[in-house]
Amino acid sequence: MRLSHQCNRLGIRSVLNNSNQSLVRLIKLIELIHKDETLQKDLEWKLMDFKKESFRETIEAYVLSEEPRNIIKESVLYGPRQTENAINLFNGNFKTPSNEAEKEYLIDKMLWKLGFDINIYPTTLQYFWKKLKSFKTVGTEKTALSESDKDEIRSAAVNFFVLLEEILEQSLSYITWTLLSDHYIDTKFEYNFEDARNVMCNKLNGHQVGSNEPLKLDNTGNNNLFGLIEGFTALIEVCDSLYLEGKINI
Amino acid sequence: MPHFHNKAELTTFPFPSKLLLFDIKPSNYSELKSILSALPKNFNKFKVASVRNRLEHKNRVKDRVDNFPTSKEILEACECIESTIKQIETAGIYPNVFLFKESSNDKFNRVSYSLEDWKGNTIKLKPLPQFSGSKLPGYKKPQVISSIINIGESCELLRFRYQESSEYLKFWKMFPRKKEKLSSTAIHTTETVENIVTEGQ
Repeated sequence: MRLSHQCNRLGIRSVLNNSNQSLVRLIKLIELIHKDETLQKDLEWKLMDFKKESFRETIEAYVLSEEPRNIIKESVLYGPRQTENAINLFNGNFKTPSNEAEKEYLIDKMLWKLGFDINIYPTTLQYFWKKLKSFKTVGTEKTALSESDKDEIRSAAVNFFVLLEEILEQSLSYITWTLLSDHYIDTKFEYNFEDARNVMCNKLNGHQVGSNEPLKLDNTGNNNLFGLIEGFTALIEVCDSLYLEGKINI
Repeated sequence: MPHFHNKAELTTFPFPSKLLLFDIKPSNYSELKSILSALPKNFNKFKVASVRNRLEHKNRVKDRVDNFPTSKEILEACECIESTIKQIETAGIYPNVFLFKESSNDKFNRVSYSLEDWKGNTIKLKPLPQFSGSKLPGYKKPQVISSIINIGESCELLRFRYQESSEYLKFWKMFPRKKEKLSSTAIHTTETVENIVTEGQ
């Protein structure tokens, strides 16, 4: 049996390459923290819908029909004693949660350690929609603007526009890279933001949109809203001219 | 061109050009173009850049008139940004990451993979094994999926494996290095330089 070692922000773990042991580990965890007869009876009462002949069978039936996240919440972290027992079984930096957010993090950490895959997404879009909502609310609910209202709008706008620039920069980089790269030979169909931003700067810098100055995009991320908006027009013009000329062997 | 290109009838190589732009269907390109060109058009129409600039202290007062954007201007700019970014996100022009959710397989060997994004939006991929060898990413890998660009003439959506930026990646970017073969001209040049140095000494 071969082991792989993996790490992310939730910690380090070792997993078997050709067999997923996560469910078996989860069952074992529940069994171990309910060694005490009283705790076992408490859980059996909670799991009365899955009741089978033995405690082990009940847990198996439960684990095979519920979402792992709910299982940890409902049958591991549902009381101080159970939580403490569970934390003592894990190696690494595990702390008793003191609020809901910490509890959610602990659930992710336990699932990850047991061998489940946890979907961790980049947060830019999430923050963007949140900031847009708050900017829209602050900017539109105040009609007669005092200086303090303006300050409030401005402070909501600063964060929002920074995120907008980030989103536009990522989009322009990604779509320029997608259209103007050889993916079979060069990128091997692997996208990475820094490389895409370099391609964007290579392909679009110096292009003149209308009578404006030639475009100057920065590959370290120092790009303003105006330049990025122009970049989209530049990209279409570059693609159109390539498309028309049919320069297939560039 | 890969070795299997034009050698078998069941598998095809959909990326014969050096730029992907020339390998996508004209209908895909025109749809993409209409979304891309709408962005600067709408942002200019609803003065997004101007609203942003006039929020700052230094750009506000012009000829003693306070140009701070009105609530109506802010609302219009916000709505324009909202609809544009939503469109970009849905079309897969923004590199939105999709992660594996589930897969199924029927008795006719039709496989279906579901991948979902941070919002829980799901994309169902039903691939045919026609592009094997084209280096496309596996379905269980984190990936960005374009909803408006198909691979060649097929229904399959274009996908790229997503690689998160990190200091670790930056550090190891050039590794593993391949040993470069020196061409005869390069060897000659090296020798010439060494000769000059020797002569100079």
